[in-house]
Amino acid sequence: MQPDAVTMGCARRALRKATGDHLYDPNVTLIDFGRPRRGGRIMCEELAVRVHVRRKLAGYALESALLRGTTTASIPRAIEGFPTDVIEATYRTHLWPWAYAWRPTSRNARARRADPLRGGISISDEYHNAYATLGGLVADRASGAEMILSNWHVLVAAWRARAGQRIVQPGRLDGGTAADAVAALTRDAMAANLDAAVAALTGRRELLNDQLQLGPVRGVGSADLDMRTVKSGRRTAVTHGAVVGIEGEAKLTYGGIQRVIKRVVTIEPPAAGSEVSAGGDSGSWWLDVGSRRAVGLHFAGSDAPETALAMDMPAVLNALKVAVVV
Amino acid sequence: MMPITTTPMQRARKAREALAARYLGDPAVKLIDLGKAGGVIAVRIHVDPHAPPSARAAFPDRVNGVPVIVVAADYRPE
Repeated sequence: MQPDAVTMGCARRALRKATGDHLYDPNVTLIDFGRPRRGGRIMCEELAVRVHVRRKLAGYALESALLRGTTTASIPRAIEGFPTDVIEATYRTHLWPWAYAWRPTSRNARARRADPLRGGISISDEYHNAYATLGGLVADRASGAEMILSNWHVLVAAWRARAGQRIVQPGRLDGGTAADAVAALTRDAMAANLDAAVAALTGRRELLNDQLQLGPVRGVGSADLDMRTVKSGRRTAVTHGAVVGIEGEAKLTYGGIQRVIKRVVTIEPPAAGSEVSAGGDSGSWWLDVGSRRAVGLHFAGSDAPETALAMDMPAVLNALKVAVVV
Repeated sequence: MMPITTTPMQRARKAREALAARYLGDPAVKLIDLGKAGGVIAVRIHVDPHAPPSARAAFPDRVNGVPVIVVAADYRPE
């Protein structure tokens, strides 16, 4: 039965309220008016304001998403007298008649979906609309399971995260979705004052021992003062630096909580005016230029003066009980 | 690149530990590490550039013969 004109007028008012309140919620993909679904059936005699979301959230997941900012409000049960129906759906333009899920292809190779995976490319956790850097390939010392090594604030990203959280490649801000999950969060080293974590590969895509535009990592070592280093990161690609500080302790804020990070290596650009790192490079591995040994895990920086902060790689690997795969 | 001898490095480490214990809790202090000043190993105290000048005057010039230098910088996760 089609709704009458009065009902449609009321429905349009409800839609205006719904879009004003919820359309710019990052979790919302579409708001319309139609027949609700219950138990998989379309309720042909009912009408509802339908709010389409990337992910249905309730209880703890909703609370967590609100804290992270991946949603801005819960959907009310009714809007302007019409019940709401929450539908989990994401939509894409259909410019190409391919069955494969289509998304714009970035010109930046580091921002694109990669298969196989390698160090220096975009990743993020499944919840944050962000990107950072897939550092490289490590293996669990006990089981040999292959893992991604990156930062706590990249793979864990929030104090309420749990093991098993999916890691997507490319990162969500580069268009990654749940379908792009390549790893699951395994453990982190924040309790050891290190902004580091590992995520076990799911096996859907292979991760090579290769740093994009740099080649393979050839071992592990600690940085010495004056050491020349190089890294491959999602944001600033390949940059060079010189180690000017070692054995540091830094204070940074993570999710509103200040933490001390230890074993900090400070790296400056070799020439004044050049860039050494920027937001999105977190998780990159700093390599000794000569030996190509991994000496630092990048996690922070400063623009004035231009400086990169990394953590001593052997300390990171020991805390996480993993080894670099060479 | 010549490695630094262990004795000056050991002194520097102890100085860094002492300064970290004393000053890392200061809100203006962002990082304490070991670096070089004039070719000599030194402890570097990195201070918020927006902190008042009086905050920098609180640090010693030397600890057990190890120079202490102050660097203005603030850091954030990238």
